[in-house]
Amino acid sequence: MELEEKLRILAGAAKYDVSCSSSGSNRPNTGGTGNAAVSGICHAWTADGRCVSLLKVLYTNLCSFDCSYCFCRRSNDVPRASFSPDELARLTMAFYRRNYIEGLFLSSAVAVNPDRTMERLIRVAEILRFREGFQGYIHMKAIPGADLALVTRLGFLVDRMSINMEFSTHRQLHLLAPDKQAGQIRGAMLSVRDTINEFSNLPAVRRNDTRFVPAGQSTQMIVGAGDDTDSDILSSAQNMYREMRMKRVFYSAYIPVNLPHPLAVASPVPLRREHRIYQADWLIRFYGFEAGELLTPGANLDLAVDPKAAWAVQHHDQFPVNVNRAPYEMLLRVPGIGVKSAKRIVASRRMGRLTYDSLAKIGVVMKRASHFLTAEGTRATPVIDQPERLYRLLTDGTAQTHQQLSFFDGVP
Amino acid sequence: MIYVFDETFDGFLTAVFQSAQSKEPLDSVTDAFGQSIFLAVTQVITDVFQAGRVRQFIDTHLGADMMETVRYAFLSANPDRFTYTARTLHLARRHGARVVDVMDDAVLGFRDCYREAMRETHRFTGLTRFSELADGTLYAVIAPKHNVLPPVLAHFAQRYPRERLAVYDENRHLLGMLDAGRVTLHKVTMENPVPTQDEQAYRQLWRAFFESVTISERLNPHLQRQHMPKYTWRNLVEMQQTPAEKSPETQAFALQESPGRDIIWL
Repeated sequence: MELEEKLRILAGAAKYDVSCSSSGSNRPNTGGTGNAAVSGICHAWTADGRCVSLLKVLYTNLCSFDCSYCFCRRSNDVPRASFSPDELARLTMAFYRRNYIEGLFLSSAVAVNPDRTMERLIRVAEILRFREGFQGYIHMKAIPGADLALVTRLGFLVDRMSINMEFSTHRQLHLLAPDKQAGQIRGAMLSVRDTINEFSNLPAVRRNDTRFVPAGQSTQMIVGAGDDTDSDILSSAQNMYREMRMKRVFYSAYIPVNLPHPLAVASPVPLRREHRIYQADWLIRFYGFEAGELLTPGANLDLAVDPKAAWAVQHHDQFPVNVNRAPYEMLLRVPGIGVKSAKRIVASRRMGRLTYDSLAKIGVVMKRASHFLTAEGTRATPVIDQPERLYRLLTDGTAQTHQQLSFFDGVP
Repeated sequence: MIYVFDETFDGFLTAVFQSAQSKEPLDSVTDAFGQSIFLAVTQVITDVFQAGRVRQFIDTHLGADMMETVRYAFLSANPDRFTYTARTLHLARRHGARVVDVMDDAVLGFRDCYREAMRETHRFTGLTRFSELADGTLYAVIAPKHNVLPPVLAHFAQRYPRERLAVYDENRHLLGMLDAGRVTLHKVTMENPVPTQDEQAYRQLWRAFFESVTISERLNPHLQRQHMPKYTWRNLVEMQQTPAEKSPETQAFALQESPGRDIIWL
């Protein structure tokens, strides 16, 4: 098979994996080719608006598993292909030297068995690191069910490793991915976490020549393939961040690639739901929110208004906040103030009192924030005591809060 | 008072020094002539000693980060970049490193300048596409809005230290070279080299990859343009539908003899 055809098949099969980030690793160049920038670099954006940072492909799509949400399941009749380790390493180097990519993201279908597949992935990483002297970014998947010794071996070669949890509840995983076992996925995550921990406690001198998953691990959940609620998803994500020390949890709105579906949900999930979950994820990681504050158990996020604004409307009695006095943590909770503007407010108010005008210059989105704050020489807006009006002011344009009346409505 | 300097960074720092010493208020700092015949103009002659005084002030009182910030602001295409930066540095004599948090129009303008230049530098670390020429040189053409070639090249010099690199800014007719570990900047006009057959094959593979990772159920060209604005497309392999390359002749890379300036980027 021609290389181009293989590439089309194996890139097409990997595209539903959402992780694209190339950040978090700081691998300096010590004479080979490449380095990893701590901020991560995007190299292109496809017509769907997603960034391309890594050469994201499957090693093979010949799968022995039969997961019902997956395009590559063994019962699907789709074209199959596999790379050879050498071929893939050469392609990666050729793309990397031309600055098409920031590195390699290699995942794989489970060919024959998990251990065999893991060995192939390790081989690719070894060729890149030792033969080609590649010092750029490598992200690889740990295959669920593989021997933990192989997972550890891979960890010394890559920058980031990820193991997809797929669903927030065991029941869903059991129904939709019958060949995967929640215990094995968890076991691999714990093992990676503990080894990372062990190596990050080494003295700095030794840390630089032995790196174990320096960019940390990440995982992915599918949103809406089963019947889990946003509250299930966010509380297990919070658990992933706190217990597993995950760097990122990715969410992917389910696209029905296989029909019929074993659960009743066969329609595509609105992208807006995925978007709201990401917003809530950010609130948990950077804004000091708890999953339980954003959602009651069993609830879903409001699609019409972002989760931070929804929280602020519910807790309108805690507003308005005075930007010249409020603690940083409270500033972060004001809709329209982000991490950057909250930090700038704290830094700038030491140099002089902040007015409405200066807030806009700092980068606060006053259209949203003005309802929730007071500044030098201004009073609170009266809407703060009217949660319904506040809610309407904060919904983004797409929400169906108004409807244009038709002249012919009611005409028989 | 208007201060006119000679386009170099040291010249700019000299202007900052002289305007700080002067009793007259600073109107603007510029690298162009013919501003106005009614306002007083000082022609600044670059003085390494005076520039060094400003460098030392920044390093000891404002920190290394501020030096980087000033360099980025210097590369911005904003017409008022020099004036904003000079005013900010003057204010820094009173406020120290906290000057960036002062609510002053010059400081806010200065922040905009360096943020634009930094953002575009980061953008082009991703949106630069190299072609391998017949002699092994990696050659790229970029068309940035701001003068970001020096920091972009510095990034690639760290990434590919053993390669021979050439990055050409076609808007400013500037060529940055990395050769045997030395980075230089040349003012030349370059013709686009013709790609080799191997090169065309890799471009084709890259386009194939780029097409197949697109999720067609979710097309969102507006979002794509937001991240990857149209002015960058001309030099991107994946955004060229029909390959512009014609005859697959090989061509080695030879630079006309010109001395070139060493780039020192931080």
